Amino acid sequence: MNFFAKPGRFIMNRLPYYYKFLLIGIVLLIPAGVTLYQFLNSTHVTRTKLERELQGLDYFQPLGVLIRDIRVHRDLSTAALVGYTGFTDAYEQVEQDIEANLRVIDDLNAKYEQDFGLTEAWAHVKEEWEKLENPVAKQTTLEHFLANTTMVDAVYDFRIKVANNSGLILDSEVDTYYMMDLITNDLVELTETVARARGLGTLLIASKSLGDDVLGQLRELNALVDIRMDSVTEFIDYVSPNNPAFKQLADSEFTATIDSVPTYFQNIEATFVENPTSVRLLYVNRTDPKAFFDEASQTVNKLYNIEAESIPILGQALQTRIDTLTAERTEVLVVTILALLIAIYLLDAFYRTVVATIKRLEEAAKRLASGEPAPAVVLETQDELGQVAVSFNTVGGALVKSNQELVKRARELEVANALAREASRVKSHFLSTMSHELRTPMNAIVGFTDLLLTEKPGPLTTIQRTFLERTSGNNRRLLTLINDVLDLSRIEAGRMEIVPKPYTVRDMIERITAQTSSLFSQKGIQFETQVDANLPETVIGDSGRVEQVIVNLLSNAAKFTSAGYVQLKVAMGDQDRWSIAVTDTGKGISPHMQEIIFEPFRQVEGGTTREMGGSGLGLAISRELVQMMDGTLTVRSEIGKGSTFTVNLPLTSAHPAAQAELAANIA
Amino acid sequence: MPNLAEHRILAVDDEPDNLVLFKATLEMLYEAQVEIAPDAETALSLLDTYRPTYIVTDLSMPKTDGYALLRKLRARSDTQELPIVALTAHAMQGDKERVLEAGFDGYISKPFNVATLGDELLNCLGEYEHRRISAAK
Repeated sequence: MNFFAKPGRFIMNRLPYYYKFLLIGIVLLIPAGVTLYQFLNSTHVTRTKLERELQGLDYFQPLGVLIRDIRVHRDLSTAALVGYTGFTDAYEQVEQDIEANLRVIDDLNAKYEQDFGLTEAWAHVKEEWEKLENPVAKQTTLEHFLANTTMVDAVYDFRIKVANNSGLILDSEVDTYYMMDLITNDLVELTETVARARGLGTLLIASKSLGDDVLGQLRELNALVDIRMDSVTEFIDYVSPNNPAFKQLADSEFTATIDSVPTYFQNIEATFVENPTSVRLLYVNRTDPKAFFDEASQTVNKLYNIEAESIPILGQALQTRIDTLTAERTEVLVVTILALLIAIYLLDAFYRTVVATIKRLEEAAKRLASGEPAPAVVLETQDELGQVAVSFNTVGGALVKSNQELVKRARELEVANALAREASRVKSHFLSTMSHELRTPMNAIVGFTDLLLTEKPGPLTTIQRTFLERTSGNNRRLLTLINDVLDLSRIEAGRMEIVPKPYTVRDMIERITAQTSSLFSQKGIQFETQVDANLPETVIGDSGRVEQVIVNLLSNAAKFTSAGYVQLKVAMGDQDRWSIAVTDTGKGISPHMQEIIFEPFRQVEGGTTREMGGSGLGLAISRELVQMMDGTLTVRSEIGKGSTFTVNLPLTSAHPAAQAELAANIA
Repeated sequence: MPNLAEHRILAVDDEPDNLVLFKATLEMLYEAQVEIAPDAETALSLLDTYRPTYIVTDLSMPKTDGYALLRKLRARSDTQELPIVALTAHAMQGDKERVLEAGFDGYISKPFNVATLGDELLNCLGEYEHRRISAAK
């Protein structure tokens, strides 16, 4: 299923909506167009065929009249040949009628020459007529009669040719096919049979002699007529159920007319009484050929009328089919175009709603993205896209709410930050002022005391010197305390800065040694330094702060060690770190105290400070400083054996704490 | 080897006690010649008569502070090149850098050490001479 669906999805995923709709539209339109084209084409072909048939049918009326007139011509001229003069006027009239009819057909031929190509066939008919009017040799009456019959046959043949060329004979509809057959074949043959009987009868009466040859012809006709009647009746039965107009005529006239044919022949038989023992007729019991002709003509004309009346019915049937086709074509065209228009209208509406929906969602998304409070997307569509809008609104609402929350938080943070900055500034200013204000009087106190102790202002008594020395010692203690308190305050206020710079470790160790060696020599303690050869010569960090920490550790070690040694050991550590360890052989620190010593002022509680001097803030400050440098300050100690304080620092100080603080300040 | 006794030192400070201590220390321990001024205005008015060769000034003073005094001294042709050192109780982180950046030739924090004050002043002087020689080259 997935394999089958993939190509379609691949295409649809890559087309914008406009092309999606265009593609589907084209795919649907092509077969619809082809089908419509084929339908219209076949309709057109059928219609053209039917119109051609109708054109062919134009010939039928004049040809029918022509045949009727030639039959009359045949009877009248044959009667005239045997000396009967009763038909002279009628004969001239019928000759004129025939000539007029030939011209009518000439015109039709001229009109349809292109379509049917009948010129040659028509020329043959006219040739026959010429022959009839100007016979080349002397003819017997029967020969003359038969020559006329040949002319009738020529017109029949021509009419069949018309029917052929115009497609009338090929028509496959039941009613038109049998009607065509009636007109061109069976009915005509029946009529001809009856008409010949009329002609031969008239001739016999006019000649008052009974020639075997003529009588034989009559007998032949009598024998033929039943078969012809049967086939005509049969064909009428075929047509009637399929064509109401024809059925009406058949019911009212045709059947009665055809039924009268046997009576007609019985009458003729009665006219020519036959000797039962001989083939020769005994006598003719009639003397007026015109009366016989007129009487017989009634039946002939009735039969002819069937033919004549069938022609418009056939035409009407064809026309009805043309009209039906036209109606069908119109219907299909209207339905198709209407459906197409509705489809285009709906596709257009679909496309527009989809595009409008997407556009509105997009706009809303943009507004949302730009931080504007986006109004809810309202869509008329209640389909799946409508569901998307509902989801979008939910998300949008949540976003707007959370955004408002964020903005509110950001404002609160800003305010808090500003307050913090202001507080920090005030603290910093206070510290700086405090520092200055404390140092200023300390300068005079420390300075005058020390100046007196130099005895330059004057000699001191022993007791004076002792007191002044005590003053000086407390001055130093007070100064240390002030410095430590200020340092700690600065650390806590976040104003202590770590400034990383490359520095040489050995130089720093030398400075520290120079600064502290007197502390040990005074107490008679050994002091040794060890520097790991693997340590890089230069590290990056705040050398001043590192120095401050180590000096503090060394002075503590000096303070708490009364015998033995103090060792400063600098070593390379793991993962780009190094360590500075200060080991003493002092009295050691209990596990409980190992925690407390790093807390500010706790040593004061323990009384150590009073005993040993110092502010008691040194280790607290040191640990804070080391932590600010991304380092650690730890202690290992055993009572009675000594302690080791170890500072562990990165070789390249990144100062995350300082940076975080900086970042906080910027924010 | 520079010697403080060769210099006429002018000390400026709004704290009379500190002025007295400074003068007494330098005169008693280093036999230096020291004139004192309680404010920048007095100091400036003393220039013509006293003609100091070394000026040491406090920073925090009312009216004209040490920085302003430095600017005024640097603006005068007779004191433009003099060694001028700040002696201040501003001993917080960054104070020394700020002072040197402002154009002082040295920085000494209070409380100063009586025993080493002279050496510190001489150090400043040494660095000042060193800078002058470098600049001249």
